[in-house]
Amino acid sequence: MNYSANDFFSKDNSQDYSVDLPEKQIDCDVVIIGSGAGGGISAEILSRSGLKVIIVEEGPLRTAKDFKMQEKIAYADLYQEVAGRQTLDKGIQILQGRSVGGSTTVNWTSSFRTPQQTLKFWQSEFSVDGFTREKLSPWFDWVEKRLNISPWTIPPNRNNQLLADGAKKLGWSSAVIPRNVKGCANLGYCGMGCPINAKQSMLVTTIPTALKNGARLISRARAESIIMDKDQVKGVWLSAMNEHGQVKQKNVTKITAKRVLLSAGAIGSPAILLRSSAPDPHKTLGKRTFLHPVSAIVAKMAEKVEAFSGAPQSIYSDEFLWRDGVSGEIGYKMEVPPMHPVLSSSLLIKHGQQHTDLMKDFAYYQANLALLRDGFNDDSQGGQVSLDSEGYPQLDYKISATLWRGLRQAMLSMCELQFAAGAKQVLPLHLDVTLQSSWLQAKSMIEQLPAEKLRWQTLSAHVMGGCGMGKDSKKSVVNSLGQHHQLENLTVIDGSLFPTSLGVNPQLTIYSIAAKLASRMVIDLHGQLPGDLLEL
Amino acid sequence: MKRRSLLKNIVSVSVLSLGGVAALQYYQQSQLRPAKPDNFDYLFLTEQDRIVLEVLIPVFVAGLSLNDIASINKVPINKASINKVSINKVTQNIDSAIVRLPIRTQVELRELFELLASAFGRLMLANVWLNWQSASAESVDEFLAEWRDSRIDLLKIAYKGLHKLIVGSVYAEQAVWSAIGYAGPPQISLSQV
Repeated sequence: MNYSANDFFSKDNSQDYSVDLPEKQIDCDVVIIGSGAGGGISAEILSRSGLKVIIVEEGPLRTAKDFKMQEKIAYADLYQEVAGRQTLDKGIQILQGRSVGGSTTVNWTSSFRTPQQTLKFWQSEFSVDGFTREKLSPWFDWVEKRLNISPWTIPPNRNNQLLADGAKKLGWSSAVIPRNVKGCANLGYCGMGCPINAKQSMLVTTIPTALKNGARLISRARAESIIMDKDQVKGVWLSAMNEHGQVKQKNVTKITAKRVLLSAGAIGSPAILLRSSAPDPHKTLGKRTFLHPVSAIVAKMAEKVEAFSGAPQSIYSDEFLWRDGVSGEIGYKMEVPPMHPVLSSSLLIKHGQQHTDLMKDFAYYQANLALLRDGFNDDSQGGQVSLDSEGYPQLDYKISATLWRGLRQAMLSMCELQFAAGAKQVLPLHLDVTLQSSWLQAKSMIEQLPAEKLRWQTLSAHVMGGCGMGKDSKKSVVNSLGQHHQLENLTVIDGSLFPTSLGVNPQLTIYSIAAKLASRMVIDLHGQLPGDLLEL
Repeated sequence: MKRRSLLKNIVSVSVLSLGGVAALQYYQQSQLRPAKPDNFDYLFLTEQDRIVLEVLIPVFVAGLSLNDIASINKVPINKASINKVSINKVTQNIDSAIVRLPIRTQVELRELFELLASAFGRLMLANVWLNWQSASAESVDEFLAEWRDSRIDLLKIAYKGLHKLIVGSVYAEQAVWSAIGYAGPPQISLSQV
C-alpha cells in the first residue's frame, strides 16, 4: 500500500496559516483557490507544465494517519460546518468537504461520466462550447487512467446488494458503480477519509504531484478577495484561519499572479467574487446553484445489513433518471448511503424512547437515497449564494412545486424497491411518518406526507453552479473556457461552472473539465504541456 | 435582533397561556443549582447552557441504558458518577462542534440557549410550578414534542438544532455503540494492507 503520499507534505512545500507565520507577499504564475476536484487536477497539470503554482485551501491538511474512521473527528476536521451545513431556511442539509483535497477526501468514490443528455442541454440552452461527449471523451480517458477509475469488481455490501435485488425484482435497471480506488480494502469509511490511501482523491494523487513539481500549499487560509485593477485581476488577498476554521486575521498575505484560478466549489467560488464586489452586470453571479436534492428512506430487514461496512456506494439505478425526458417531470438517480451512528442518529428526528428504539435496529437498516436532477426545468432554477454580515456565504434554495413532486415520486420508488427487496418495515425520512409494514400502507402514507420544508428531510452532497458557463453573458458568469466574462486573468474551474446539475455524482465531470480547461490555460500562459496531455 | 425578538414573543405568549404573569414573576426570582463540575475548557457553552443540556440530554436519549451512558470514558459505574461523567462528555462534544460553526449559526445558538436558560425557557421546559431542574422527564419530553410538531418554523428549527447537537454527540461515543449493534471501525494494521 502506498503510504508515501503522506511524505510529500513538508514544511518546505506546505504552510498552515493557523500556526505558521504568513508571508506578506508571494508571487506566482497561477494561484489556485481550493484544493478539491477542480483545484487538484488543475494544480497537477499547471505545475507539470513548468508553471509556478500556489494552492490555497481554507480547511486543514489531514492525511491518512489522521483518518481514524470516527465520525466525531472526521466531521469536525474534514467537513464544512461539521457536516451540518444548511440552506438559508435550514430546509436542506449539505454534506461538503473542507480540508486539503476538498470533497474528494471524503466522498464515496462514485465516478460517472457526464450524461450525454446533460451535455446536449448545456449546448442547446447555454451555448456551452466544446463539451460534447466526443470532445470530452479523451479527457475522461485521461482522468480515469490517472485516478484508477473502473467499475467495482468486489461483490457489493449488503446495503448495495439490496438495491440491486429490489430493482431486479421490479424489472428496473441497475448497474455497478465505477470507483476511483487502488488497493481498496472494502472498509466502508470513505466518508471519513481513507485511512489506507486507497481512494485516489486529490489528497493522494494530484496535490502530491503538484508539490513534487514545485507547487506550494497554504492550508487554513481563506481567499478573502481578488485584487482588481479595473478589469484586470492581479492576485488575491489571503486571511489566516484558526484551528477551529474561523478567520483569525484578515488580509495577511497578498498573492500576485498572472492568473487567479477559482476552485472553491459552488458556494465558495461565488462567495469570493461577491466579497470582491466583482462586476456582475447581468446579476448572474451566485445564481442557478443546484444541489441534486435528496430524499432518503430507511428499511428494516430481517437479516443484519451493517450498512456501515464495505464500499459505501457500488450499485445504482437510473431507471427514473430521465423518466419524463430531459426537462419534464424531474428524474432521479437511486443509490444508497453508508450508515454510521452519528449521521444516522441525527437523521432519525425523534427523541426519547422512540428514538432509542429506532436506533436499537441500527445494524438491520438498509437505506436508499434518490438524488434529483435539478436545473433542467422551468420550475427548477436553483438557489442563490449571498453573503451574511460576516462575509460568509449562505445559500438560499427553495424547493419548487416540481421538485416536491419529484421528491415524493422518488420516495415512492425507493419504498417500493425496499419492499421488493424484502423489507419488514420502512421509515421515510420525514417528521410525520410512522414505521410501515406493507407497501400499500407505506404508499398511502407517502402520498399524504406534507410537502413542507423542515418536515420533509432533504439532503444534498453535490453543490453545483453559481458561476455558470456559457456564451451569453446575460445567462452565465464565465465562458466555456472558464474565463470570467468581465474580468481578465480570472478563471473558474470547479463544479460552479455547471449550467445545471448533472444527474450523476459530480467528481468525474469536474476532474475532466478541469483537465481540459487547465491544459488550455497552460497554452495561454506559454507553459510546456506534458506529452500525455498534449496529444489530447 | 429581529429573530431574537420573534422567538421571545412566541415564548411569552406560551408562558402567559401556561401560567400567566404570576408564574413569570415566580420564575424570574428562582435560582438554579450549578452545573456539574467539569475541567474542560468550554469555548461556547456557559454554565447556564450546560444546566439546560443536563436536563435535555437524558430526555433526548431516554432508554439508552445507564450502563451505556456511564461507560463513556470507562468510568466505574456508581450512582454519583454516572450522570456527571457521561453528560459532561456529551456537552464537551457539543461545545467542540459549535465552535466550528459559522459565526451566524453561533449567534443563533447563543439566542436559543439564552432563551432556554431564561425564566421563560425554564417555564417552557418544565411546564410546571417548579424549578425545571426538578421537572419530570415526561414534561420535558412533551415540551420537546410540541416544538418538534409546531407549526412555527423557528420552534421546529430550534428542536432540530438541539436534536442534531445532542443526539449526534451521544452517538459519537464508542460506549453507546454496543447498544445499537455497531462494532465500530475495523481494526487495521499496516501489515494487513
